[in-house]
Amino acid sequence: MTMLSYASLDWKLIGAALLLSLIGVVLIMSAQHYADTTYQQQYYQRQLIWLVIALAVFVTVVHLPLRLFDFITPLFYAVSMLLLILVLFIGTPRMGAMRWFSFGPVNFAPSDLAKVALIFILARFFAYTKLSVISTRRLAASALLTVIPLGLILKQPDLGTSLVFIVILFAMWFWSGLSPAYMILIISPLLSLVAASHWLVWSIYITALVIFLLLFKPGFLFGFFTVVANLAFGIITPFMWGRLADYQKLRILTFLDPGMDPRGAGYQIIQSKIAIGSGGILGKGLFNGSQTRLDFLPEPHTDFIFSVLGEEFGLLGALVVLFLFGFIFCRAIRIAVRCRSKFASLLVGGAASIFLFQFFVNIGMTLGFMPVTGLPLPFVSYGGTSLVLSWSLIGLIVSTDYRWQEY
Amino acid sequence: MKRTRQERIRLGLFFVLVCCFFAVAVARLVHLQVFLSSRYSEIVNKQSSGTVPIPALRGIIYDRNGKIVANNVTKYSLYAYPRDAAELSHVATYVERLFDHPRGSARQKYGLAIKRFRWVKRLLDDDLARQIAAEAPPGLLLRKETQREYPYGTIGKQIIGFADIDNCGKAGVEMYFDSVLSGREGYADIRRDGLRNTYRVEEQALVKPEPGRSLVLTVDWNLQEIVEEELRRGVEEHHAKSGMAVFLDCRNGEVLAMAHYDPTERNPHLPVKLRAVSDQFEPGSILKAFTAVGVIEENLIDYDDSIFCEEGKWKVGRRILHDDKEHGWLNFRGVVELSSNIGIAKYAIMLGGEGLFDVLRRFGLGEKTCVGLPGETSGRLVPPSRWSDYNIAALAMGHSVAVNSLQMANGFAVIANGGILYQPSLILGQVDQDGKLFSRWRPQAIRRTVSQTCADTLASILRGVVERGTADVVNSPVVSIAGKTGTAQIPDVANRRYFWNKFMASFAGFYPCEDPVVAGIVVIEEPQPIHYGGLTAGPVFKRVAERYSILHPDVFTSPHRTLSETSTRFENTSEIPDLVGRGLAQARALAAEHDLSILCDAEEGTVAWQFPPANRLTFRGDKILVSVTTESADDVTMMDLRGLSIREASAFLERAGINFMFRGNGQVVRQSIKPGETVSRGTQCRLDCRPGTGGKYKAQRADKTDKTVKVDRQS
Repeated sequence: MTMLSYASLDWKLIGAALLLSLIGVVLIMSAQHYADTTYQQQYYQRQLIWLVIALAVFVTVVHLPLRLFDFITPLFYAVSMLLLILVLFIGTPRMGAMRWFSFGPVNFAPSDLAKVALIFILARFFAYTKLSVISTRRLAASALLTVIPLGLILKQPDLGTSLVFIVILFAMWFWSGLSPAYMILIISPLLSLVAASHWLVWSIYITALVIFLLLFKPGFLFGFFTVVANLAFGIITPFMWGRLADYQKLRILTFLDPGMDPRGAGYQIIQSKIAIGSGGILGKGLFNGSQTRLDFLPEPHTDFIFSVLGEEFGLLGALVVLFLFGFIFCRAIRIAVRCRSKFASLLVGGAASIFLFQFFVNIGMTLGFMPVTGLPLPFVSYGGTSLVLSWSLIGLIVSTDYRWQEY
Repeated sequence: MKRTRQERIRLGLFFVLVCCFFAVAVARLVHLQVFLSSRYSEIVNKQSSGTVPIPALRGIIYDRNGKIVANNVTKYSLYAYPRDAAELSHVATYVERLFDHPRGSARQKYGLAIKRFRWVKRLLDDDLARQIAAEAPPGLLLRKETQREYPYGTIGKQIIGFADIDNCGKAGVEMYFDSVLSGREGYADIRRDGLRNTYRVEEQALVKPEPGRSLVLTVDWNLQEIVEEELRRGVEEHHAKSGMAVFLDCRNGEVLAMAHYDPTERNPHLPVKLRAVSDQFEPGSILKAFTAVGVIEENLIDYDDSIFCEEGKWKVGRRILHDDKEHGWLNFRGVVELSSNIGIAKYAIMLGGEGLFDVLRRFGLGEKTCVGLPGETSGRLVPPSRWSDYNIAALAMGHSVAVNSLQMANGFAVIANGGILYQPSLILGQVDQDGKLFSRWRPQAIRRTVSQTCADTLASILRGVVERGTADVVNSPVVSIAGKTGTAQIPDVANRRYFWNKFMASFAGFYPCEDPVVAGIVVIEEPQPIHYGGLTAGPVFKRVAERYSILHPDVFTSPHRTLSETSTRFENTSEIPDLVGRGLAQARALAAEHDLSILCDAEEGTVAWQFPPANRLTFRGDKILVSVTTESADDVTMMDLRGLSIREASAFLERAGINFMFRGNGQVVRQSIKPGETVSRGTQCRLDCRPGTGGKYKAQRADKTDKTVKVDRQS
């Protein structure tokens, strides 16, 4: 440990994150203020304790030298994977998923740790590999590093979190210099799948894809596989769709458009929109959110905490939180760009991407333009591991900023 | 690190992406929270707030003497609202034990669940409610509810109707005046949560319920009881199918009593209709009184002239009219007194179809009386396409026209009161919460139907009917009755003719004829074997008139005609002496002087109370109930009540301070506290009653109809 000059830490970034965390505590208190059990009413106290732990972790991380991260990354990754395997066998089943280890009152989800580990290992891989940016080996190797935790998490099962891993992969590709055009080509089979809903749309799509490939010239092998995958997805989809049972189709459609099912999947979204909408510009005031108080809003302290904010503090409160998040992103990107170590830069970029994605999906869900996935809002939502994880990432960013000149 | 061009593009792209998202999020927030805010606020209100009704206290119904005939009693209803699993299991176990259900069945039977409201049993007995209140586990609660109570049992029930378990009027006055009686519900604001079932009552914002108005009926329950008793007796004596009776105050159209009696009626406690207003029938000869009015009014007769009644057979058109007896020459008075079909037909033909029709219209036939009961029939009075002599004759003698009993009684009231048709009314007024009459409903005269002289003339003729004519058995030494008999064949609708052996026997009239007060009608359907109206319905009318005028002389308030002045007519009646304050032996002697006997609860002592009270008239040989002061004020010696009427028995029990309930009606046959037993005040006595006189019909009826009616003095 080295002596830190505290004055040169990025206090604005720390302040923004701290403010978000405290807002979170207040909102959790409000969300469970009228809950039936005192256990629920005391959620905010537990969140406060977690915040203290998270800050301790943050301080620790800030004190650690960057080299140490570099050094322990493979071990970190290995341990995370081991935990992911273990949780499938000795985890505590809850809500039909093997996702947590239980230590008395504390639940620990190894997938949270695995997110960080994946960022670390990919950052390390991209920072030191000598393979060219668009080499297939490089893409394949990084994809393999992602697929291992992804597969283990799908096994739990936890679709929402596994999406985060794909996002991390794409973010790391992006930060390591892969052209966005390649990334579009990589996800193009998925586009083909959507376009296949109508044969005309699909033929236009395939034509556009081929023209794109001819202009872009990504290399024969890459281009060939892209076309084959697109054709395969496009042709198989209509058959698969035809063979699905009605309820399965309905499930997929309501995932994409919750408004189709106002009493089931769409209920939460509708109630969330009602909560935010009824808040108006100034909000109803702390503890006065009737949607929250009367149990209309599901999971008001975790997934839908932004709805509580919108209802009780209105547009102003929501904008303040959006601003704080925006501030954190801008700050993180600036740090990532400025620092000299490629490894650290990738780390910060990955961390910012996780924040951004979770923020994007959560806010989008509460505002009703993204499907319900169950991702919490970083810093604000109730959840100890999530808070500790977020603060350790902030610690990483602050630490990188402090040591930006190091290689 | 130096930035290459590619990196700058990458950063720019990333920045644009983030900005795009923020723009979308902010736009969405502004859209929801600024532009759609009011709409969403409305949705919040709609889905989360509501109101629970607070029931209003239903108005009480009084009879014209201020007796409560429909009352509210507070009862407790049991419901379950367990808050957690432990409470749920306690509640289930307790309920199973309380109602002897098999173990584990209560949850399913009552649908018990955590945080769910479920009725377990409504309107519990007071004892059970007290027991439950003392020992019920948390999660099982009692709610106060009011229930309708009818202290007089089936008496007058056809008029009052009934209200259901939710205090909603379902028949009779309870239904017709439901909006007045039910008052206005109050509301409490509630908040409903997302789980839809739990209610959290807001602190305030409560609209108080407005209690229903109490009604005072014009009906006199004393008369109603007499009418029902006598009607039943009449129907049973004559082995009839059913009977109907209506009595009203002819001076203002106020209905005093209305009833029907049908031995086959399934549930006398829940009467669906009152047949006296809802059933129509062909009146037959009683309608001749109205025909006669038309004839008199048009001056078609000279009272000395006679008309030939064709010796009982007269061909009108292609049909032949018959008389019951072969009359020769009769004057007009004789035609009505002896009820000659041929005679009245000849007069009616002189009057003409339109003239006759017009008279009947003016008597209110063919129109609803709007007395204030649901399901009233208007009867049927329509002119034929062509007035033939036969049509006129048929109408004149009360066929090809349908009426209800109330219309006929009201028509006779016109004759009795000197020619004015009143709107029959059932409601005397409304009473406010303090029991003050605040709106008296004035009698409404509809029209002058006939001239005073015409009505008086006919009244004297109708008196003749009773004195000399077809209704001579109705002639009473107690009260002077005037009226007209009717014996109408019942139409056989299926075969478009009349049954030769089925009759509607009726007597309509009024009394006392010197200064009429009460007009009424008694109809007996299919009496056997005697079918004449004068011999079946007539005596019922007579007995009602006699009993009512003797036992309740104060109903008739005309000052110039006190009963004592005309006491010469009351040979077999006796004035009740004042026995209070006298020794028992002395009281006995005094009663004996008046041809009365004494029924007493003790062997010796001083008379403290008597029933009926002094200075009233009663029949000779009647009993007077007497109560004696005893040393201890708290103990009462039970008296032998067997053989007394309910009214007499209840008078004694009220006086003695004993709570009582009776089953059935008529006379007391069994009492739960044996005669001579000493009991403390406030104990409960049950009386079993049977209709007074014997006969196999009555024994059967008594078993079927009886239901328990409870009168609690404290309520």
